[in-house]
Amino acid sequence: MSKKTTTAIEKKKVGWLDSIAEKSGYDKKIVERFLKKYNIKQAPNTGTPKRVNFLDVSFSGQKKGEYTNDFKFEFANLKAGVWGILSDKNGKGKTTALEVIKWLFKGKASADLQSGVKSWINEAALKYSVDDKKYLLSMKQGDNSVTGQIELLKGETKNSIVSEFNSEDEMAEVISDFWLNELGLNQIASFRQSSSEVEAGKEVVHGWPALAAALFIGTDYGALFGDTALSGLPTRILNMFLGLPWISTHAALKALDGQLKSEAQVETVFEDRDKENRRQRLGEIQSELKLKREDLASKPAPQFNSDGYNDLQKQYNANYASEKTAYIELVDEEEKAELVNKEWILDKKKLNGFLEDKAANAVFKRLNPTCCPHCESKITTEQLEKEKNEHTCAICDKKMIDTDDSDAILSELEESVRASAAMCDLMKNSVRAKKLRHGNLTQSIADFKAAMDEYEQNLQSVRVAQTELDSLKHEVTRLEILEEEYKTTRTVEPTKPAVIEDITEKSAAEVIDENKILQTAIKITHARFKDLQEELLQDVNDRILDFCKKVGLSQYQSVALTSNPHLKIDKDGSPTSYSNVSKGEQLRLKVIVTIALIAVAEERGLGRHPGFMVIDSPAAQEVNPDDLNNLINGLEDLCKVLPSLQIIIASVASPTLLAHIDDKQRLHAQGDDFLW
Amino acid sequence: MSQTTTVQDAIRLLYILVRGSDRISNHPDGYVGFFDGKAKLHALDFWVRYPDFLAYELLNKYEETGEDKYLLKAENIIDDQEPDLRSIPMIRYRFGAFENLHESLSLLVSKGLVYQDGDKSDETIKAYYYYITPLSVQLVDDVTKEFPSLGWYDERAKLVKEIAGSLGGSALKERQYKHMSYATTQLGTQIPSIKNEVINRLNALNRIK
Repeated sequence: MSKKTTTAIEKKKVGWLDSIAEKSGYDKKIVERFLKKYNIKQAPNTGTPKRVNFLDVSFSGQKKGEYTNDFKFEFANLKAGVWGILSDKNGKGKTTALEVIKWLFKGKASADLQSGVKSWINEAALKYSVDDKKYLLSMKQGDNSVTGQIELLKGETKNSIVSEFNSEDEMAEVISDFWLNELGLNQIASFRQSSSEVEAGKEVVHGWPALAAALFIGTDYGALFGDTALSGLPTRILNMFLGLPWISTHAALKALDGQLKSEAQVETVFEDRDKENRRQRLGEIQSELKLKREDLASKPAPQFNSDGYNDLQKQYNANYASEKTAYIELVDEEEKAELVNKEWILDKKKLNGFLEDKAANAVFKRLNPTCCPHCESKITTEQLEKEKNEHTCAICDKKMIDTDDSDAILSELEESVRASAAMCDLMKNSVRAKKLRHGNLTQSIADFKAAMDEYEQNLQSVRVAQTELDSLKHEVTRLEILEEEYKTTRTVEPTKPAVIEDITEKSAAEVIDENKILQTAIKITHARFKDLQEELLQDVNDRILDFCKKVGLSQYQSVALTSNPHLKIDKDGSPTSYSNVSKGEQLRLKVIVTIALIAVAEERGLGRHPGFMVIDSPAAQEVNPDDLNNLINGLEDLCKVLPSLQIIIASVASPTLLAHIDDKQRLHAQGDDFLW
Repeated sequence: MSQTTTVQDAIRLLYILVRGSDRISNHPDGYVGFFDGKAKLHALDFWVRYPDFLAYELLNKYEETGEDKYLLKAENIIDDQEPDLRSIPMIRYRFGAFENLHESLSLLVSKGLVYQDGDKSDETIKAYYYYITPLSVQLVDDVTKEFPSLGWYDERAKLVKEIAGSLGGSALKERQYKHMSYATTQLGTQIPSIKNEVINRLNALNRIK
């Protein structure tokens, strides 16, 4: 054991949690709360490798389209070693067979399995072993249904059903759970950066399909391990297959780090934008405030003399009452005047009648009758004489009485008329005066009313002006408050992940620097596997270089697989890397790096690689027959060293492959034949 | 119901007969005036006794002719309170306002002031007419000067003669009958005053102060 390993082991003697607490300067409970908050779990186990071999693969159904025959594919009785799915020509179902195997192993069909072809399959089954246990995964597919189960095969005794599924989603879930559990693997978290500066990246959890992809070497060589180089997946796969301890913990901490940094970055962007917005808004507020202040200064305070109005009101009320009284008095007086007038008329009529009567009497008395009014007989002179002497009427002979009190009566009548006339005049004057008074009062009331109305209008204007002024003042105050608010620098509160926080023992006054705890945790965790990682990688590198020579890559003077993982190559004296070499070299490197990892881990009893791989179309790239030969030789040698290793190669049949893979260990569609 | 004495009625009638008659000359009996019909006498007497009805007629005349004198006269009648002071109510009979004038007329006849005659048929007089003597004309002139209280009758009689024009008694009665207050008065009841109606007409003409 190296010194480094010994030191690492000694370091491990201090608990991980305690180390973080000590180094970060926070209490252990705070660290625990932090880890719980972000769901960071300890994963100190190195992992015990399990060996997986496919034993049987089959699928059947009915083709549709150009060919409509029933089909069945079966590759049975597989065990450790190198196996082949070969066809003389392309387009004979080799890729589909591989994709179905992937579907059954990963639990999820990839986009490379055409949906049309996928729908042809009615049944599929994968029999496999995990160490000494055997399992059978069987699946049936209907028009809209997928059902199946995983059974533990117990030989002569009845098989037991490990799990069942009734949909594609359930199938993926069931298979994922099975393998993660069997192989002791954790889902790997990593961080994916967002393409937008205003959106934080997010933690991405790679499940079983991502990990399983590492076991299939296809024709895309972008990543050294697995299907994608993004989100740090190759690094995680490398460390997982090396069997390093604390890998998933470290991955989770790094993912959290990435996420928080991204969030902080986004918050900075938002903060900057927010600051700019606030600056602009402050400018707008200040401009508006200046205008409003000027407007306010230009407006005089409205004045209203309510005393004057009250006086008017009092006078109006007094006049109103007086007018009512005056009106009643006027009506009374007019009635009286009417009565007085009637009396005068009566008196006057009497007087007129008296005067007329007197005049008429005088007139007619001075005229002697000339004839009888009845018979018109002439009146004689004697009759006239008799009337004169005896004061008897010449016509009717009645006594004629002279009354001489007419003057007294006249005087009396004239006096009455004078008196009633005087009274009439008095009454007329009185009525006139009362009318005048009433008229004046009516006018006063009208005048006061008009004045009050004017006051009311003024008051209304004052009210309106006051309301406007108040509104303006309110607006100025509001803007001043806003100005103050926008002048004050504001800190954007960092967002927290949606984790329920245990605040039972949190001190209200304590401010926890979570980033400090996080960075400390990352360092502590890394330190737990760093030395071992370096040691293992050194071994792996030695093994890779050794394999390179065997597979036609002798121009490599040195190779160095780093922890992240990059493959640095010293080729013909010049430094290069995996991504810069040819596809043919990439294929060989992917294979031999994986083999090197498996070999080193096997030797040390570490690692979580299940010990099989599927290689698709190794001859597709520009590998010359010798190099391919050497590659296959290398694989065969490895199988000897690792007796449980299983390698399945799907390819167009080449003499090299046919020479290496025994016919008992291959399916070969010859000529125009289909594999299924 | 009479508010006047016989002699008052007589003097009034005298004025109406003298001022209301048509002048004649060369009558063999020396009469100088002719007054045709009792109906005409009643009609003219009605206007003398009802100054408000006369004022109404004056306003009609004003509207007919446009002559301001009629309007002014109507105004004066109201201003002088003549409807109150001078009205002598009459009763509405079948053929209009009526009062028995025999007594008053007898007085005038007996004093030789008026000669009454009529058209006879079947021993009844069908129509009356009156002749005016020179004495009555002179008397009226003299007493008007002597007794100022009689001056009103002189002026009034001349006015009603002017208003009547050449219309006969029936035509005058018919004209007077046209007025609703007159026409709708129940038979046997007193014809009411139309003073307020005249005042309203004058108000409409903006004449009442």
